[in-house]
Amino acid sequence: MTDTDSVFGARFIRGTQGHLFVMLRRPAGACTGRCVLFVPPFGEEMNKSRRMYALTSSALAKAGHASLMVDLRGTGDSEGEFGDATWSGWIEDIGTAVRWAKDEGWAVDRVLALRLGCALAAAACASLPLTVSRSVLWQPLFEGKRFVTQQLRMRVMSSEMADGREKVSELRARLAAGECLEMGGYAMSPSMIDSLDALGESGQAERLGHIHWYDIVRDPVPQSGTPAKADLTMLGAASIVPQQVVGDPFWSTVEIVVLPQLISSTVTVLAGSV
Amino acid sequence: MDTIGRLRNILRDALQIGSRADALRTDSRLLDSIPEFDSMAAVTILAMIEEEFGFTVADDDVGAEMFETLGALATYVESRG
Repeated sequence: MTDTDSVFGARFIRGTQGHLFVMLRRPAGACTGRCVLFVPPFGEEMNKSRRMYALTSSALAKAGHASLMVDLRGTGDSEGEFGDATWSGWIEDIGTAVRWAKDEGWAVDRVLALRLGCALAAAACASLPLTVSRSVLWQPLFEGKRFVTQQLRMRVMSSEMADGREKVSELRARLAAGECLEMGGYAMSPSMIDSLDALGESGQAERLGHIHWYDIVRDPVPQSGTPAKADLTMLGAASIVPQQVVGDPFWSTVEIVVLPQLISSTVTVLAGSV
Repeated sequence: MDTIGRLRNILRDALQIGSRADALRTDSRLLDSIPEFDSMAAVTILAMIEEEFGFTVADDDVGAEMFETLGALATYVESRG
């Protein structure tokens, strides 16, 4: 598949536990051989944000840069069940995709990630032989416990709206007892929950290079040094440039939303020397 | 601004209901009356309440009762003050 500026290729590659679906978009003309790794957010947020990723990929290709994305095991077109997926398994999948891209002549040296994908990107960069010079993080979420709490609350509220009756504490007990629970349409295993709960407890972002941190807000707010200095210290990041873009939270809206300003700014950062 | 006013702002932002939020009174029903009010919106509202009022909603406080009316929600928030 081609447009005038890029060539898009997708294929299945062998992962450690089944085939993985990888997508690589490269410029149609001359390019550097370097590549941006896109790390997806969690669950349904990925489906809501595919359009943003696709448009950003096209814009990067127009600017002369390739981008790589992989459907992690149990998601998208890759093999496996979501309920069997593990955090460490997803890190392996990223490693598999990065090695494949390198074999194809594309070296990953930058990252774009959204929400919990930012924590996954940080964990992958810390675990894999991967040197990243800069990262763009969209609405970063590093505190796994908070994410899990939100998922549990959503299940409780969905249940109550359907005249059911559940309590967050009961759901936590069921997870602790080894039960896999459906949350937001996705089967969440105790293993995945444990991994998410453990996120945010130590410096994670040392290997993400120079970070451009984007908050997407509906109304502009005075930036008082977002993220807070405590977050910077906790993350262990070398440097963080906070940015703010006005728009809807496209990863959770009912209709698919595109934020052109976010794409434009992201490409400027990833393609340039900002 | 009082609690009701601050909660109106949260509901306006979370549900994207604009000026409809101004019409909400203490006895205005929320959960089963506002079309935009789904489980994801409820979770978003809880997160915004935690940030605005500076407390963490206890696990077992989460439920439909707190969202029955604007007044019920305000009562809960003030009980955590």
